[in-house]
Parts: sequence; C-alpha cells; structure tokens
Amino acid sequence: MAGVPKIVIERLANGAAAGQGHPDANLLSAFTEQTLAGKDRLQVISHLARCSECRDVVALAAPEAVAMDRVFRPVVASRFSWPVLRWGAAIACIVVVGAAVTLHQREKVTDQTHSGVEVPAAQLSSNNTQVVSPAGEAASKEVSAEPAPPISQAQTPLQKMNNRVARGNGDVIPGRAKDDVPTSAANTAGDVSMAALLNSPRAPRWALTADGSLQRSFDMGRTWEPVAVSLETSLRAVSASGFDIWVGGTNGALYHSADAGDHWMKMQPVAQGEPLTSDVVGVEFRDIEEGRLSTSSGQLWSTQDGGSTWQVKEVTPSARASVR
Amino acid sequence: MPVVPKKSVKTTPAVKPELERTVAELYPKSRADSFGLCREDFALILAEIVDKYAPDAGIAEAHTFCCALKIEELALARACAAGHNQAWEAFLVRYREKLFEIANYITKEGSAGRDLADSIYADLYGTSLRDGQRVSKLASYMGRGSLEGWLRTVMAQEHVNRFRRTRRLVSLDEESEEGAQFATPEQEEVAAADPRLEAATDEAIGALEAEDRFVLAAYFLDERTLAEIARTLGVHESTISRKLDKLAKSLRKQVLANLRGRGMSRRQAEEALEVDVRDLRVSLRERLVQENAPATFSDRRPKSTTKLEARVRDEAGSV
Repeated sequence: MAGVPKIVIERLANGAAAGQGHPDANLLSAFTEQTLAGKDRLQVISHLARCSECRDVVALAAPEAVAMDRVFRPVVASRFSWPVLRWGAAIACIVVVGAAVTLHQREKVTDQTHSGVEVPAAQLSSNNTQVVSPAGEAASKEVSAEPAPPISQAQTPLQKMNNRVARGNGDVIPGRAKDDVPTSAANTAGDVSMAALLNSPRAPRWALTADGSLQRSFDMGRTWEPVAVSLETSLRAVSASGFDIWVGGTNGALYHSADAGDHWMKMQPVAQGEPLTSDVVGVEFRDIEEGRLSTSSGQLWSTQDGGSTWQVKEVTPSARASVR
Repeated sequence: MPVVPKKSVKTTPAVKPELERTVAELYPKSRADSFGLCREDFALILAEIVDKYAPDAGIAEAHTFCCALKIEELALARACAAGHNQAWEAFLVRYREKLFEIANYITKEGSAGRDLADSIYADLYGTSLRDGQRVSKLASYMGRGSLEGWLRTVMAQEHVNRFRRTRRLVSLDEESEEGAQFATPEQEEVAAADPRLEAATDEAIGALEAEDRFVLAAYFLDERTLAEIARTLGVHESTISRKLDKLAKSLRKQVLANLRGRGMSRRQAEEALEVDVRDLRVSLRERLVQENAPATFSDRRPKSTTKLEARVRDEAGSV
C-alpha cells in the first residue's frame, strides 16, 4: 500500500474539530450499526473525520466485534475446534470413498449381468436365497435366510430399477438362488456342469425368465445357460441351499435338484389328503429339511422333513409375502 | 431490582396531531403497555424524537422516520427511565449480563470492566437529581440504533473519557519512569515548512470526501487496522485497503499539482514533498520509552512502535 507524506498526516491531525459538539450516543450507535443514512450519516462521518475522540468511541463500540466474540467463541471451542474438524474431515473422506467404490462395483456388476439386469451378490455364508416370479409379473427378489423379510423391503432402489427394465424387455428375470460355495467333496458328479461348478471361483447364479424357464450363470452373470426342468411347467419361484435347488411353478409344480440343477426330481406336496394344485408363487427352504411354499390361492405349505409330509394353512397376504 | 421514583416524561414538545396515526400504529407494536408506559407518554416520546432529529419533516416523512426507530427497545428504555418495575425487570433480564460482557470487551481487563459496568449501571438507574427527581441516562435513548448498541456506545464514551482524564493525571514519578527526563526538548522547527506546501496539502485534504478523510485519519492517525476500519464502515477490509492505496496516490498527485499551481516547478514540488525536514528529527525520549509506553485504551500497539514513527525512523536513517 502506498504511504502518504508526513505533511499530509500532520495536516490531517491539525484539522481536528476543536470545540465542536460531538454527536450523541444515539447517532454514533446508529452509525456503527449501519442504520444511519443520508444527511445524518454525512454529518456524523464528517465529524468523525476530524474528531479522534469519537473515532475511538465508534471503534470500541463496533457491534460486530462483541457479537462475534459472544456468538462464535463458545461454538469454536466446543464443536468446530481444529481436532474435531480434522477427524470429521477424515471420516467424511472415508465414507465418501467407500460409497463411491461400492456404487462403482455395483454398476460394474450391473453392466456385466445378462440383459443389463443386476443379480445382487449375497453373502457366501447365507444359507438360502430365493427368487420369486409372481404370476403375470416378473421380478427379481432376494431374501435373507433368517427370517425372510418381505421382498419389497429387501430390494434396493437399483434392483427395482432393473426390475422395471426387465419387465419392459420381457427378457431374463434376474435372480440369484445359489450362492454357497460347494464344500463337500462327496458330490462327485462327473458332468461338465458340476465340474464347472466345482472349478468356478464363484457360486452360480440363478434366474427365471419371463416365460418361466430357469437359467444359471457360472461367471458372475456374464453368460447364462438354460436349465431344463420341465417342459410343461412355467416356473415362478426358486430357492437354493448348497447344491440343493427347489423351483416351483404353475399347477402346484415343485421340483428339487440335489446337484445344482443337473438332475431334477418332481415333488408332490400333499396335506390332509389333498395335493397341491395351485400355482406356487413362493419357495423358501432354509435347509434340506425345512421349507415353505406359498401359493396363488393364499395357502402356506410347510414341511419339516424335506418334503415327505406337508402342512397347509390359509394365510394373510402379508404372511404370504414373507415367503416370497 | 431498582425502584426509581416515578418521573413524568419530559413534556416540552407537544404531540402533533399529525403523529396520531403513527402513535396508533406503533404503540401496540412497542409493547409499551406491558412495560407500564401509557399511550400519552409514548406519544410525547415520539414527538420529542421527531422534534430533535426531523423537525422539518412532513407527515409522511415523520411517519417513516418513526417506523424506522427501534420502537420496542425505545419503549423499554423510556419505561425504565420513568421507573416502571416491569420494565426494569425486562431490562435486567436482557441486558444485565451484556453490560458486563461489553465492559470487559471494551476495557480488556476484568476489574476495570466491572468498574465500568457498575458506573454505567448507576447512570442508567439515575443517581443525579434534577428538580428533586432522579435522572436516568436511559431517558436520552432515542431508538435510532439498537439499545444494546447504544449501551455499548455509552460505555465506550465513558471509557474514553476516563482514559483521557487519567492521562492528564500522570504523576511526575511515572513520567520519570517512562524516561521523560531524557526526552529531547521540544525544539523549534529546524527549518520552517514551506507555507506553500502546507497550503497545497490543506487544499488537497479539504477536497476529500468525508469518508475518505475518515479512513485516512483512522489508519494513519489512530493506527486502526484495516479490519477495524472496515467493521466501522460495514465494508470488507480489502475495500479499505484499495481505498487507502488510491487515496495515498491521488493525494500525492494532488499536492504536487497544487504546489505547481503555486509557482513551483515539477522538480521543486517533488523535492518539497519528499524531503520534509521534520522527518529528520529523532526523539531520544521515544527511543527510551519503547518498553514502557503507556497503555492505550484499547489493545493497540505501543505508541513508540507505531507504523508512522517506524517509518519516520526508517526515513531518517536512510537520509
């Protein structure tokens, strides 16, 4: 900043307003609060330009200094001190990076999924996942093993969006019915599928198409292969536990495979002497013994012995939804 | 809680009929009734303020002026001054702590702050008598700014007055401790300044806007910081910095032009401005009191180390 010659400073000091009356405290306080305007402000500032005493007063009475001191000092000390901000910034960075990585991975999986439909990865420790295809509407649904929440609550927004895409295309209905990595060496089926399964770094994924057929993928959804179950049945639901797969469909059809879909056995649930004839719209097997079915007629079928005996009861829609 | 004998509001200005509409509009807003102030007293207060600050205002102007007042705080202050208990209760709740906070901020020292706050509190309560009645300082509050701002200004005025009084009462012993006995005696000008230089400078300064002159005085005479000046004027400090730079350049240019107008050549004018013989004076006293400079009433730098004197010393050294 440029300086001024000393003569200027001296003449400024000599021009002090000697003997003039000072503005009262009302005008000075209004001036410091910037509420004085026009002629009043001009008079006050003209006086201040010549009166060091009043300049000292307005400098000491400047409202912001007191206000800032009072308002911000406790806040700075308590909440916005540097250590808090530092750790807060570090945590925020971790959260942002974590969220970005998660989203990126999900988008990558989505791109790789057949027909652009995501099959969300379930935990390897999960015992059971299920895919349900309600009548007239295909949708991918993932449920956890214990207890099974309603499908609508288990879906993420991204899944819902993908479901809409799938419905619009009439293409493969995404679903993942098997996530467990095979650990038993006792299953020694020598065919290509089992070899692929055993050699696969990841568990196969399962999907139901809109026309009710079953598909599986050994490469995280990049390629899908059809799985023949029954020519006369349109499948609506699938559930997996280990190598055991159950699928349900129209007219009470229920099939079980113990070798990851290579061989199927038709099951005929009968309860109280009556066979199951309604469409199976939901399947859930926690393990090879305990399972439940829900039907389009509002019945809930359950077994505790791997399908040898069944119990049936009429259920409310909400209870039926819990099976899906 | 202080109880002040009830005192009628000064009734010198008559209530103008033109103010009736203003009174009718502002009286409910002011909550004067809850503070114990009747409508008639409130009208007299408005009339007094209009007479003082806008005596020539028309009806509309007076109405606008009154509407711009801090009307609720005005009613509170005047009700306190009139000795209404409910007003004092409200005042103490709002401002008792603030008084001490402001006093501590102004004095920067606890005991001095308490002393200042107690003194102001006594003035607000009204210790002096006029016509047998206590006169409260709150009766002079006019509502132009906030009541808190007014209290702050009143306290700053009192503090400045005290500081000036105490400076005049510095003992000889204190002066001796500060090295006054070694001070360079005030001497006549080594060479009188060219009267043309003074006249040219006065002319240039006289042509300045009031705000520009205020900024120059605050920065170069009072040694206020850019932030302090900016806060006073309600602008950013970079604005003040630019203004000061511009002012310094334009002043120099204007003084040179005025000197040339008084018969100096360009070179003579520049020499007259650059080589000011007064800059060569060095005060031994200033050198001796560097460590014992008397404290100023704010936390400003010691007088002996001000920018101005440092610059003078530097320039003297370079010459």
